[in-house]
Amino acid sequence: MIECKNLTLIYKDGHKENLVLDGVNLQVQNNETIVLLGPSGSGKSSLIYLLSGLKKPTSGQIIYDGVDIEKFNKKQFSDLRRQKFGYIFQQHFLIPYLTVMENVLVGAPKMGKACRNKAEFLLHELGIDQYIDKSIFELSGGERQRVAIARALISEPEVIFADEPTASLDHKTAAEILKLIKKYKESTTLIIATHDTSILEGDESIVRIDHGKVIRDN
Amino acid sequence: MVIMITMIKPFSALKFFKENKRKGLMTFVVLILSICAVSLITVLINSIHESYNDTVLKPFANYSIVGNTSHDIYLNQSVVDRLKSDSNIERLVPCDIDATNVSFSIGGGLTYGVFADKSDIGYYLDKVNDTVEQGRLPENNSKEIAVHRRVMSNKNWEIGQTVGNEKNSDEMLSGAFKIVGILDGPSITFVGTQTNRQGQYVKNELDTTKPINYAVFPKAGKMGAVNEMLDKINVNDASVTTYSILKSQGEESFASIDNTLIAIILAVTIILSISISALMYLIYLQRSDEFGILLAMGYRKSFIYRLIFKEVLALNIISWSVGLLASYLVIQLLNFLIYNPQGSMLNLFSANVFENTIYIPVAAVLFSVLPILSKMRKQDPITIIEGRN
Repeated sequence: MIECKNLTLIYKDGHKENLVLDGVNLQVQNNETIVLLGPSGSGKSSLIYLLSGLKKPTSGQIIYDGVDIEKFNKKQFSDLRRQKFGYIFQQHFLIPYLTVMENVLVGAPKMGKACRNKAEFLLHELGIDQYIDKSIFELSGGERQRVAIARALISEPEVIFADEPTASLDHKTAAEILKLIKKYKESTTLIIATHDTSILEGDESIVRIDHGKVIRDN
Repeated sequence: MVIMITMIKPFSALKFFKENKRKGLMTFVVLILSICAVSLITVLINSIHESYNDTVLKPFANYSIVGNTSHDIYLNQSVVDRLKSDSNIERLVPCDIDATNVSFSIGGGLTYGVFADKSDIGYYLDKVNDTVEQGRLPENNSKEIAVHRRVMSNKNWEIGQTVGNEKNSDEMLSGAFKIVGILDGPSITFVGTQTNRQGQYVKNELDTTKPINYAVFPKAGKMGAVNEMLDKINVNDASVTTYSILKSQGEESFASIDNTLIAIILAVTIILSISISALMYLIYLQRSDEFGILLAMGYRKSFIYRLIFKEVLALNIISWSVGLLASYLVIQLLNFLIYNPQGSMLNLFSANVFENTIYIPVAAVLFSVLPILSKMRKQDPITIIEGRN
């Protein structure tokens, strides 16, 4: 379970302080799918960065499986992100000189036959196994985002953080991608930030963010 | 589904530059050319040292010369007495010394010859480890010489030919001598029985029992002690030529060449390191997204530092090796076309070639990696993800 208590984030812009998140309290249960909804600049991405440990809050606590992540040392923090979390971003951020297979394996915490088999399975399930040894330049935008999904799933993470994963895709591809993420997440908690409600299927928990405050829909 | 047999490791030291050949090509070519240039300059300067060593120093490793001064006809009697009484001396060979000039593509020098009684010539060659390879030794009271094969080759001399400044005014060897034998061995020298001076000496009915020069051969292991004694002889009493004197004269005359070499290596290393550092910085700046996303995924900075270091190091090691290989091929070509016909050879395999060229990749790696790591240290994955880098 991920829990945040009284989470505040202030960006400093010169002498000006910008309150991005204002005392956010949120509990995300294991295997839950949470959608962070809100307009652009509302603080969705910032909340994802804080929950996933990419950024430190100005104040407040983030508790992962009962432990305050502030207490983790650098290695524990790195291991948490590498082994327990998976990331999907608005851009695919694939490594251009690696093949499709190698890009997927970048997400694997350890190299081995099992990881390779898992990568092959994921690429097959995501419908891009014909590109396994190809350069990513031979793939369309949607196909590249599928590779990024496979990269996030290969470590079998406990939590997947997806920040606007479909923003750069057309509506049909975006809906397909979201379906795929949900299909292969298995027993994984999924936290998605998006502003596009049309791709949702209705089985997600909705958390609305506006002016740094969160309201969870029942 | 494709069945993959081999293990896949996404990151390796060679992966990036293998897949981005054009990006590494400039660095690769610049490094190869610099290493080639520095190694060739070093080899050429080595060859000047080696020529001096072979033609001048090596024969004097086994004996020294003590001769009359310019204002004396004979060798000073007190010096003669001192030499004869020294228990460290095995044999004193009355002789005359002459020289011939040898030239190489870069540099050149003198080769010294000993003119003495035939029985002493055999002893001399034995001491300097040379043998007669072809023909015979000169006969007593003849105007004949036997010459080392490298001098023969360098000067395009042939057995049976008559040489000397009486035949060719450019020649340093005074007189006219018929070549009757070719010598081989580590000491580049030539031998004869009678120089012009010795001839004049007999003709003018001077005292032939009084020597002009002595070739001084020490007993085994006593070279140091004998040379120490010779070095103490007053310059007004005799002219002394020992291994250590010739060596220090050589070092003095080569000092400016050696300093030039150091300056070239320094200049090449500094200019190249800065250029390569700038090239590498640009290449790695373009990879900010890659490193940013790896950091976001939980890869540690130390992993990325190691990856960058290994990539730059691998590129430099490969360039260094190829640079040396290219130098080897150029040297082989120079040997074939120029040096071997002159009786000499350039040699790449000496310690200072490796020393002088290794500074280049070492400096290139350090100057490339440090600014990149400094930039990486400040890398924030969020700025990458949000496209603000």
